[in-house]
Amino acid sequence: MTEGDRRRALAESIVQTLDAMFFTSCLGEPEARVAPRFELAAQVAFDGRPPGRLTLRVDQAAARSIAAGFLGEEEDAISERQVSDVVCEMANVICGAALSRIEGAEEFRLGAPRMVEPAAADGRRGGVAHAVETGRGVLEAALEMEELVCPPAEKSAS
Amino acid sequence: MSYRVLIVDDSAAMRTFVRRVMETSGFELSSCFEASNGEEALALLRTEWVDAILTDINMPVLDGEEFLRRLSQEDMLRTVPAIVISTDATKHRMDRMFALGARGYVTKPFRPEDLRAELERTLEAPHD
Repeated sequence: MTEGDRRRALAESIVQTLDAMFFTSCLGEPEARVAPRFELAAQVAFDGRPPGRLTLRVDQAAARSIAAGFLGEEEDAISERQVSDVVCEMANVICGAALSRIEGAEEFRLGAPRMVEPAAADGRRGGVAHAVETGRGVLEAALEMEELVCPPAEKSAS
Repeated sequence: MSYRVLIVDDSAAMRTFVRRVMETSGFELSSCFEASNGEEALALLRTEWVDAILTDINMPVLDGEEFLRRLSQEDMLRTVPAIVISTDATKHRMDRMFALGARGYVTKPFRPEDLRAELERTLEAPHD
């Protein structure tokens, strides 16, 4: 599977996840000239063939809107903890959906999702990433898999 | 007929979502119980009868695989239909969960109507 195939699998997983379970429509990719502000981030590590991790970064307003829809509550009635729980669950579902689409990820085991510092969690550096505009802010997922981050010299030596 | 259902998931947000899906999708729910792992679920099942169990796989303390294995070993509980709700849609995993006794499998992400349909299919299917 090529890097383009993995990026497509990730993009499809984001759209399907937001639409089916989080009642959020994706309005396409965000405008490139506006740098998104990611105030929340969650990460899910996975074991499998290959292992890796998914990082989900999301704008605070988008996260609160999505969490309210998921929990069936008004936005001002949910706590920061609930918003974080929903962001973690969203990362978990997107990660599983992407891995299930990726040829070669025959079996995997997801770790527990956890909130991480958004600035230190730029998964785009080592893998494929896809961002979407939700109408309330931008959401971006990045998928890093060991095969992608291994430098060629390491691969040929093994 | 209305049903008593147990949701087993370590994510409080996910438990809330699943309960809400059942309540709003037209599924006939009379009581809904929650547990955050398999161990809690087994303790609850010693005092409460349920018609169906919805369980995650990856959970701390006692995960979904071991939970199903333990259910199948208890005479009073082995006939309670369990449906797995998981992000893992690989055939290998699904086959293993069915071999452990799962009667249904819903892959995340799912639509509310998918969960309702799988619940109703499982509850209406003849079993031991």
